[in-house]
Amino acid sequence: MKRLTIDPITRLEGHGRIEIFLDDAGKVANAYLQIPELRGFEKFCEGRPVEELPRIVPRICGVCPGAHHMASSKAVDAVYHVDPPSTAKKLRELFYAAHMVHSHTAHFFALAAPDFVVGPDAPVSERNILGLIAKVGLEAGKEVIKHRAYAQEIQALIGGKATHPVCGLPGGMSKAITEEERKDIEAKAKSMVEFARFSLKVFDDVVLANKAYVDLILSDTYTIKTYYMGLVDANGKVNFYDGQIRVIDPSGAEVAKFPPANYLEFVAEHVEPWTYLKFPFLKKIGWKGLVDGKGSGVYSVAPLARLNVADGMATPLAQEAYERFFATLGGKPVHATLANHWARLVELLYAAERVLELSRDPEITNPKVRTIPTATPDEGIGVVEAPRGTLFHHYQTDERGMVKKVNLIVGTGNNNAAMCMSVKKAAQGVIKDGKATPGLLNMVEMAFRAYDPCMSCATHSLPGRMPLEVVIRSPGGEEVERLSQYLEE
Amino acid sequence: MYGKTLVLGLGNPIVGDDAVGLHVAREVRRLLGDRPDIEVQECCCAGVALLDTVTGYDTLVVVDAVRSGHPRGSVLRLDPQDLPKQPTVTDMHGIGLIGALELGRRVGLDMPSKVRIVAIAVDGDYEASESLSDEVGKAVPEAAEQVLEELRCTLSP
Repeated sequence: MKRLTIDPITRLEGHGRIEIFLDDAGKVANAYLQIPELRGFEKFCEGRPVEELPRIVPRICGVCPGAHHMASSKAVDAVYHVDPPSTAKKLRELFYAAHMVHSHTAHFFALAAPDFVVGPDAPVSERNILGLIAKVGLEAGKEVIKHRAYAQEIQALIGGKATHPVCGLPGGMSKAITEEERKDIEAKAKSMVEFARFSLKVFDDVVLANKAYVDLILSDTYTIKTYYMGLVDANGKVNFYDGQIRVIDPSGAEVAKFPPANYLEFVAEHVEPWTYLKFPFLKKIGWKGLVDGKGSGVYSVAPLARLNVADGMATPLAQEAYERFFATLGGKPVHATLANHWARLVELLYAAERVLELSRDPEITNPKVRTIPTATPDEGIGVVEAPRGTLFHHYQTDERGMVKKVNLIVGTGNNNAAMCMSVKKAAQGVIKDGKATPGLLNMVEMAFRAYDPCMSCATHSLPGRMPLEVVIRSPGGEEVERLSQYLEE
Repeated sequence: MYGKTLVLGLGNPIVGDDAVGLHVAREVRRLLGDRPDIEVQECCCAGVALLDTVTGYDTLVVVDAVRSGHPRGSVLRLDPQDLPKQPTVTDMHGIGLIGALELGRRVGLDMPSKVRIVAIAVDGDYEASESLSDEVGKAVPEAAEQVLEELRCTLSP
């Protein structure tokens, strides 16, 4: 069997690897996506005061610190059996909606759009954010930078620090916001709503107006039919911060709706020898391997999954965008992996509208943001929708609140099986006769990039970028060809 | 205006040797004492997030871990040109230092005109830990001295 390796993956933090195994006829026999974890983290947490965890977990990852901080803060509330005041919950949600704006903006403009705006088979040297700016214009680039900064400033204002927030305490928040700060957030939020609409327009103009791209999105190569999971509010609308977990089957029928604290009744994890990252699956359906369909317990999370499981969006402009999304793509559920990019922008609009709504909430400047915990700590579960999918934090402590056990299931982990399947399917679609070119390989990478995976590696060592290397091996395992995009340097 | 020179230590405090830039920044701060013209910051961030930190300074000295293949604990003084050329500014998160500076310049932000890098060679796995290895720990004073030397070179007329 020939072996073809894409290693490490470009454009993702940390180091990942795609292994593609070819058969003797040069067709893709199997493909695996390997995602390394920051090892020893759960052990690292043991023996520490549980209220420290919301400040430690954001270090896991440079991409989703806000999501970890929120899930952790909620888990610590649960450990201490304390319910934060209403204003504290709203401030957390406001912080978190700003985090979503930041993350979704970065993903779309830096990672996703270059594939479409510049072209999926353009040279790597152009298929990046600078190439994107060259194509759509400097003004658009400035808007991206400006609104990313706005979202960061709102997070810093509420969270204490933009990148590594410190605001969540057991029972609430460390500080309230002033009227002056509220006004500042409101002004930025108005601008962010317009920016989100502009982003959807970029998607319209660049992707939807180009039949070849729409065909690509809807093609079988980028389709897998799995179960979907996501948080919904009391009205069944998408919610990032709180709610119940709803699961639908590949035909769109609800098969489960449960409070996050019951997740262990519904989710189990399968282990494969070739990767550290586990494969969560639906316990009641069972693990049937890396296959899709109703008989397999594989599920997907992240933007497309969230839109699929929800009855709509809780804000008016996002609701319009949501309706258009499903009307254009043929109704619910949508199984086109690349539609995640569009779904992400629908969520960007919702997040921006939600920041604006919360900034105008009469309660938002109420100084009461903390309920002091009095119960004996023991165990708690906190769940949020991270930009890249449902995020579970589960802590157990002794009666002094010292951590005994930590279990995390991250968004990228939830999508592990679905991503492996998408990569295999895309590889089968675009690699023929054992021939791989950088453009073709990017088409394979597009399959998992749509999920916005996070390699959960928070190191930032220089040089700060990953080369892409492709090794083609003969059936005997000898290297016959090596393709590289950067090795000449 | 004060604070036109920034010494920026980069790293993750819970990933072992990756934190070395933070340790060096602390040592530099101690050695420098109170200098109104030089700011020393520690930062656990990367990519475009760096723009928020470096905007508005004339001179930037970055201290970071590097995976260069040199023996662990080697101290290297680098020019941005020494890093791999950056045709691949591909990721808002993993955009890389040089890419972030280039992006900042293109969109008209006030980026440092002089950039120097002091790098400490690391290797090994990404494992959660709050301590440096012996080799990398021993390199901290030397790296701090190199930063001061860098400051003497760049700040002298």
